[in-house]
Amino acid sequence: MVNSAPRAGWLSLALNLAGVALVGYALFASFAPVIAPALVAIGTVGLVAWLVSIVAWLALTRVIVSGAALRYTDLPREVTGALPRVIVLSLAVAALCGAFVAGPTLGLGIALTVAALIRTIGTVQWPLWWGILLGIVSAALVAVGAVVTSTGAGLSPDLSPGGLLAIEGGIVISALGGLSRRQFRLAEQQAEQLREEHLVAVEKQAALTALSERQGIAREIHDVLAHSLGGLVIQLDAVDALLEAGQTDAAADRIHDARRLAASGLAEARRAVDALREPDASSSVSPAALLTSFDELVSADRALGSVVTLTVQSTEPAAGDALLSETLLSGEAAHALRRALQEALTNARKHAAGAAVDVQVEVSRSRVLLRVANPLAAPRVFVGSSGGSRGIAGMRERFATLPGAELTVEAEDGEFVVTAAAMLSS
Amino acid sequence: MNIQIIVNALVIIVLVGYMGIRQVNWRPVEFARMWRGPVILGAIGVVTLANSTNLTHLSTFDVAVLVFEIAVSLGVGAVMGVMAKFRPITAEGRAAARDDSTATLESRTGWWGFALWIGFIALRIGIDAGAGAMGSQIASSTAVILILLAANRAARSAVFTARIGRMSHVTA
Repeated sequence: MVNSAPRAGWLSLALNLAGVALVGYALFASFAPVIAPALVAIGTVGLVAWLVSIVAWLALTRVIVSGAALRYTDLPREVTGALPRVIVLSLAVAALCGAFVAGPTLGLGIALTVAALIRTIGTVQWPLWWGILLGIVSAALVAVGAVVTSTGAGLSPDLSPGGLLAIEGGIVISALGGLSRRQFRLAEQQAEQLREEHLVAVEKQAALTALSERQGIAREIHDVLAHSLGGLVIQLDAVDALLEAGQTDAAADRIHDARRLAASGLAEARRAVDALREPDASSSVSPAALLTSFDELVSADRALGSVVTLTVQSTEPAAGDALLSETLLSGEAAHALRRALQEALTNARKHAAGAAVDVQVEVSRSRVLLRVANPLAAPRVFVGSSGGSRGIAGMRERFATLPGAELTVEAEDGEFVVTAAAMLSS
Repeated sequence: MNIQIIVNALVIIVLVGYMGIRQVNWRPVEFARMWRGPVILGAIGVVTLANSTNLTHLSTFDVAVLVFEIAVSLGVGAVMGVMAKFRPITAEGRAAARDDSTATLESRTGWWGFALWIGFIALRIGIDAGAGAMGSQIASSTAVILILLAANRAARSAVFTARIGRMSHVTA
């Protein structure tokens, strides 16, 4: 409450100063000869208090300007000093003195009360009850002033009952004016707070987007590198063994295979980088094109010595090729399915090397279902470090963002089964 | 005049007793009732005042006394609102809440509130006597008592509303 101040405003300052001048002139020119000197003195005290509040307010605006970038509500008490208190007190003195002389000066004094009340109630940093209390006390003091001065005969010009009511009405109206000003300021503050919160939210959103993009990139890199480099390691191990055994021809074959694998891995990495550079989720792929890429993946895996069977079946054999070419799969879904097959093959090679892998693809009107199964019981031979379960986590993330897609990874009947499904649209 | 004084005295005694009982007991806080009372009392008071008194004969002194008493009444009501204590509503309090089944609090002003109320009544009787002696026509009328009571209750309700609003703001 204390480290606060009314805001700067040159119009308001000019109006306040003009008010002091006008009321002072009227008090001394018109009423000083007619009313008791004590009343003139009280009125003068009120005027001085009003002036003090204006000067203190100016001083406070200077402090605020020199404490640039800080909002006045944030200013510490060491900076503002006693200024806010001086303003509150001088406004109260002005309001009460004005109220007391309002009756005998036929309403002139109420100008002080009105100005002080509007400022006191309208300043958000001061509690509302303080302003309202000041208003009630002022209203009572107007009545007291009118009675006290009129009964001591000849002290002041007579005030009509209507005049007294009008003065009290002025107090009520100025309180309402202060309230509306207060509401306006509060609404302004809330709007500013909302703007700040909005900015914070936008920044958080941007950070989240960047994070999810980084995760996407990490996923791509993992899949491409784990697949091709893992394969290369196996090939090179084989070459090593063949060379030790002196079978240079077989080793040369292996090296050819390894080269092909490295080349395809490089191409895959390029495709991944291109896709990251220009993500084009809107492009669609036909199931036929998807099956071609499945073929490529499976034959690359066979070249590494895996035993893979690939069977494709359609739920509507009558539709045949039409089903494969007329329906469409979103680019993202096709990519996710390709990666799921690639990851499943890599895992099978790592954890169940040499065992037969069964790949089944089922195409219906509404979806493509991919099922990759390999025996669990096979002896576990680890190729390098397996990299934890990052590959499967990446698969799950990919499918979670696709509408209508599903992914299950489970061990059933001694088999490790990865099932992935994606929606087709015609 | 005599009848007026007797009526006045009876009204005051009944009000003092009724208010005393209400202040020292826990009462459910019902927002609708809290404001309905002052509005009805105030309306009756203003209408009665307008009908019973020739307004053109009102003196500046009458208006001043009325305004002063209203200001004091508002102040006392606000102080009572500040003095009141709140607690979560009990089963008895819920049974006593006639209109507002959503009331969650009950309040009590206590014996200090009662003392304040009696002091206020005494002040009012003093003002009545003084103002009557000085020629006020309306100071001791029943209509004014109703208006003052309305102002007192309205100020208390306003403070209640502000305090409860602040409490729910803190706990929310």
